[in-house]
Amino acid sequence: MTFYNQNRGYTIDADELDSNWKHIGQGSRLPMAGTAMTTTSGVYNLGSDIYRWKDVHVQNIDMSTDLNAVAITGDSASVVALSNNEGFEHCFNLIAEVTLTATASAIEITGLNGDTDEIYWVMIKLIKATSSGDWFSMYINNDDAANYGYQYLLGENATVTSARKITHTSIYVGGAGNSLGVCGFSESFIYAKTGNERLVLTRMLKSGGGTWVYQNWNFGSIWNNISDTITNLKFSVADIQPNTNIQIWTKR
Amino acid sequence: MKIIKTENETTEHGEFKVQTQSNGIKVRILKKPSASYKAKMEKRAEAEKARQVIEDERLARERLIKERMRDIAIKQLEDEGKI
Repeated sequence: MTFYNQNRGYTIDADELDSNWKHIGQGSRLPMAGTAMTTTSGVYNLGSDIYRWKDVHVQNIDMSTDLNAVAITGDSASVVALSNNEGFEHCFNLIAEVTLTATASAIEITGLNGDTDEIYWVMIKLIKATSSGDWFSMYINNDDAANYGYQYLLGENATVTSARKITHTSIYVGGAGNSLGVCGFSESFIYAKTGNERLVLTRMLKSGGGTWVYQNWNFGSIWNNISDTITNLKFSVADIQPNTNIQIWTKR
Repeated sequence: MKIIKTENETTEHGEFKVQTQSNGIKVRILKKPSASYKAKMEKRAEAEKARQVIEDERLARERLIKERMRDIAIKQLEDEGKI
């Protein structure tokens, strides 16, 4: 659509006027200026400090820069938006999540950078078939050699036990599939940065069903690799059932 | 964080469903393991079961010892009239 400039003394016909209306009204409502009503960017405001629109009703907000540090108050609770993620740089953010919709044998998360992220918080809800309690193993960078070790504390009914293993081939991060319970829930914190061995703290409910919980485990695990950047985490056991959910959180 | 692409991939390990997230991270789900991968997992599972049997026997022995010690302690306290 062409915009026809209307100066004093200029006779505009209906087609030109129609073109002007359509030029201004076409498609998105874009900021325009100048005699040719050309579109502008980053020039004009919507409202001002004194004259404000009442409410904003939109489906999405797409911003080219960060939201400015402004306190927005009203009848409902205050919301404080922070520029450059100030105040959020020390929060855990969800960086990967998967919920299975079909049976699987392994779930691998790739594209990680353990040196940048430093700490991973892994939460797992594991659903297994009713075979006898299988462990859900985690392999760092696909390492399945005897480069791991652990020390655990176990509570089962009224019995508390502990043990250590110094040549293990994975890190236990979950378990389920006892004949009385198909669910397991666990969380693990992984210290992921190179320079030292990588350390993992895990606590898990292993196999639950109805009102019954089979075991409660606390693991301290270690991976003896001190130099390779962690780029992927693989979680594996046979017959992982649908609705199994894995979340990876980190400080981003 | 959204899934921006989902595709299938086949490797030596089997058939994967690969989801690419908007932050560059990929989630690779092994839907159908290859025969060699299955064999490897079964071998690991067998080794794990053997290890677990030994561990379960050790735990059962510890439970038995603790229960017996508890019984002895209760009897002693009863004999002493303390409970």
